[in-house]
Amino acid sequence: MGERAEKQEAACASDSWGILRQAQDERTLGGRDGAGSLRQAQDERVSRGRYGAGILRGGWRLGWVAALACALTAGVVFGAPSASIQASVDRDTVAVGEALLYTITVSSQSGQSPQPRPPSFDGFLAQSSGSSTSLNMTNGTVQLTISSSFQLIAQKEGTFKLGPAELDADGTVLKSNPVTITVVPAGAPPQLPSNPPGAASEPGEADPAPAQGGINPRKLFLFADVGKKEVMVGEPLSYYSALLSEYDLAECSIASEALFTGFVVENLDVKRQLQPVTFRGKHYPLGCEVSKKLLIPAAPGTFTIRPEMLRAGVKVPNAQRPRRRGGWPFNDPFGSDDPFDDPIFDRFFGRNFQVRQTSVAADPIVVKVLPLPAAGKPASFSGIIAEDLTISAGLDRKVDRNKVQKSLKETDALNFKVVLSGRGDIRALPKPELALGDGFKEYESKATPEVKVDESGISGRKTFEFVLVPRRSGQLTIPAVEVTYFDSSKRQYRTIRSRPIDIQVAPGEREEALSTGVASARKDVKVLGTDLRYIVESPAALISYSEPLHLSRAFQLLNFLPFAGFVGAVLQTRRRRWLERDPARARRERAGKTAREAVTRARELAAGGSAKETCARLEEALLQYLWAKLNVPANSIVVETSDATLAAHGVPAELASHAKELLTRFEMSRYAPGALASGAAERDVLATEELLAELERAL
Amino acid sequence: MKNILSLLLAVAVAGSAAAQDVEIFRKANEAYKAGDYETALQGYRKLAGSVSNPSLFLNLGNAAFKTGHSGWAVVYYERGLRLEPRNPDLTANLEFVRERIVDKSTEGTDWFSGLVAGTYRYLSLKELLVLTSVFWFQFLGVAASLYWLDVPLTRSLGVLFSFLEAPRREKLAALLLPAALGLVFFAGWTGTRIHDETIPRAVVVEKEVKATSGPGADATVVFAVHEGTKLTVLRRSDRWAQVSLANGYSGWLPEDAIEEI
Repeated sequence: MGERAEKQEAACASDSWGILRQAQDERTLGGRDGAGSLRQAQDERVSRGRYGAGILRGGWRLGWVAALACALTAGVVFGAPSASIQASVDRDTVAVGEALLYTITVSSQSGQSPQPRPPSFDGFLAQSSGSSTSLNMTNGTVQLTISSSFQLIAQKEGTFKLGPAELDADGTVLKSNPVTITVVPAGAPPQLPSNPPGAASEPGEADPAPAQGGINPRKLFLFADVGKKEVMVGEPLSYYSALLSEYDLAECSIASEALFTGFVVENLDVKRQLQPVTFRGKHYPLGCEVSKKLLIPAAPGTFTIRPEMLRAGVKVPNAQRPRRRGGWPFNDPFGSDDPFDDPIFDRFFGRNFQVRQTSVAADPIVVKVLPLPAAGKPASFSGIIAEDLTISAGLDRKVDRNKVQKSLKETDALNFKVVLSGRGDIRALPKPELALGDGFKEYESKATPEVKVDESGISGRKTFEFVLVPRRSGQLTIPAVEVTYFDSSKRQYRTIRSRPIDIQVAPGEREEALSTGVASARKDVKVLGTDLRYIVESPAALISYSEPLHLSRAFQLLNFLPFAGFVGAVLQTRRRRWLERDPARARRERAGKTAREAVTRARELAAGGSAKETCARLEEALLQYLWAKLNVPANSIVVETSDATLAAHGVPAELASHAKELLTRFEMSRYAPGALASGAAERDVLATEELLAELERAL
Repeated sequence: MKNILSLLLAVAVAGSAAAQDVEIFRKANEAYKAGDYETALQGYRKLAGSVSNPSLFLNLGNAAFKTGHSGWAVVYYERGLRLEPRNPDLTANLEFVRERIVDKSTEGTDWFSGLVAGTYRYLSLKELLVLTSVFWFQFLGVAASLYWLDVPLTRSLGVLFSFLEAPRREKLAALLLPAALGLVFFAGWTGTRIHDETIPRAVVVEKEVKATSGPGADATVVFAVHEGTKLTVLRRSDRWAQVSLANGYSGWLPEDAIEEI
């Protein structure tokens, strides 16, 4: 009977089971496993539906039997309370800023899945961490357990009583137990969880009672740890968490992130991939890194790190069930005639496991942050905690005295570099002070950090670059640069120094501003007011400007000159070309000038007393003139017939006769120079000039 | 003898006139320094009848502004800048006064217009005429020389590309084209400036005057202008002047309200 009731109850509960599965499926699923599990859940729902349908198809003759069984079962079920609600916390004392887990557990035997109403969480910041469901059948009773979790973060000190959670069941309102939580000031020692949900943080401890439907917390747990539980302020420590499971997981997701109150968090790369892992010598079929972070404590005190809380879907194998025998030819009234109702088909259709949701969390981790020792703390402490910090300083040019003496001058700018390297939060290193004195002037600086952040900590270097200008010439020294830090490995303050650098600076161009030290104070001249520019008092203001130049006659005349010159050049050139085309005319044009020049030379000879030569020259001049003017071949004019020749070319007879007379006398003088009277040469020159003038007019 | 006496008299008169001007100038300066701007203005104005000098116009503009006549100040500064466009004092003072003019400047205020205007007026008319003459001399001199040397004028372009290979007498042709270009450029610039200066420009010298649609006070008022605003005079009729602003507005103003630059 009990078994039948169980079967029928399962049949009546099939729809609610399907709804529950749907709700579970719709929760956040991560990765391929999540998608696969959804398909599996759907398959299970379908298979369960067929199973239920097979019962109903069992025929009308079993219907009255089923109805009777349901009524009897209902009487058993509803005769007792069908649901209960209980509230619990993992710890009842927390510090301000810390978190605790508030869980509402609803147990229902009605097969329904009532939703509880949580109480008011005044004084806390509440965040739902999801819910889990488990189904348990014991002695024919099916109990459905739903756990809804809330992560509460304490906001203020005090004692808070969280009112009962409520549940509507069977027309009544069920209330859970109230929970009292004490919130202490931050930094007070926390209370470890009394009942950590899901798992122990360290395997090897005594197995806690399996929670939530038989999941062994030693086989499915979250490992979370930090490198050191005691650090100094500013000393980095690494946080690591990983999920380890001996179960096959359908899905896994982060229900709530870890809390790192009191720390500066640097996220590191993490590979979240479920795969077989070996942890502390033990093999786990499934494991994955959840998070890796670098934590830097910001203040001294005791701080609690709350690791992540995960939601995992564990594949739990189904219990073996006997084959149901029913229908013809077996004639079992409680059997089924579903031909596929056999365990072998369960495996074929993938119906040999169910997925149970469970929370996986780790214990909080308490870290003690110690303050830096006050004793021995130098005034020059930079505030940095580091390990093995080194310093180096240098210039952008050689400081060899001989070389620098030639190249480095006063007012030359130097790039001075200080490099600090080591392990620790190098980025926070402040600019080191340069005690330059009166030797150099510091103008600007820049800092360039180059660090690497990984699970081992922060390491790298920071470079400070300064621009320095010598204030004077001579032997100067850039003093050693000092940096004081706290060495976390040696637990003591340390001062590191660079080496001083000597430089020889040659005299250069000095600016008054540098000598007075106000070079850095130069600024733009500020305009305080405006006004008209002042008048001109010089009497030069009375010199009147001339009239417009283009109206000036002189300017106009001046500009006419080149035009006149151009016209003259054009005309002259044209005449020259014209003459070059007619040589006879050119000769004719030049004949008069040539003859006059010859007569002038003859006059000089006559004045010198050379009568014979004078006559010769005069004769030559006259003949050449006649040849050119008459355009006759040279030497074609004979003295004896010269008058006839000239008359033939239109020369008047008188002139022709006169020309013959002169030519005859010139010829006689060649042969009988003594016959010439004194002073005759001068007379001949004059006569020749007159004749030439008359011929010019006539020809 | 008579001619010599006339010449000596002219020189004496000129000398005494110059001495009188110097004295007037000195007294006007003293008055300015003492803050008596009205007296200074009168003295400078007396000199302006016979003297045309940028520095005198500067003093006139300052005295006019100090006596509250910003319009007259603009007139004097503009007259001075016509003679000496790059005078920094005149430029600065004109700008100073313009910033205090009621009417917003309607001339091109974008950087390109400013660049063009500044370049256009960078050289004075005298400087432009001299430059034009220089290129005129060069061009005609080279052309005449080439004609005389029987070098075709068209060789001037070819010689530029083969100067080293060209015969010696043709190398002179290389100067012709640059001279021609320079002549055209400066002649054009000069011609434009001469034409520009023939266009009558004036400045409003009254605090506020209303422009009408026609000559006459009973015409429709079209817009109002204030002291210091520069405008162009288009024509005059019956003691009225038709003016236009840089933005194209046109109207008639009483002649007494404006003063030509």
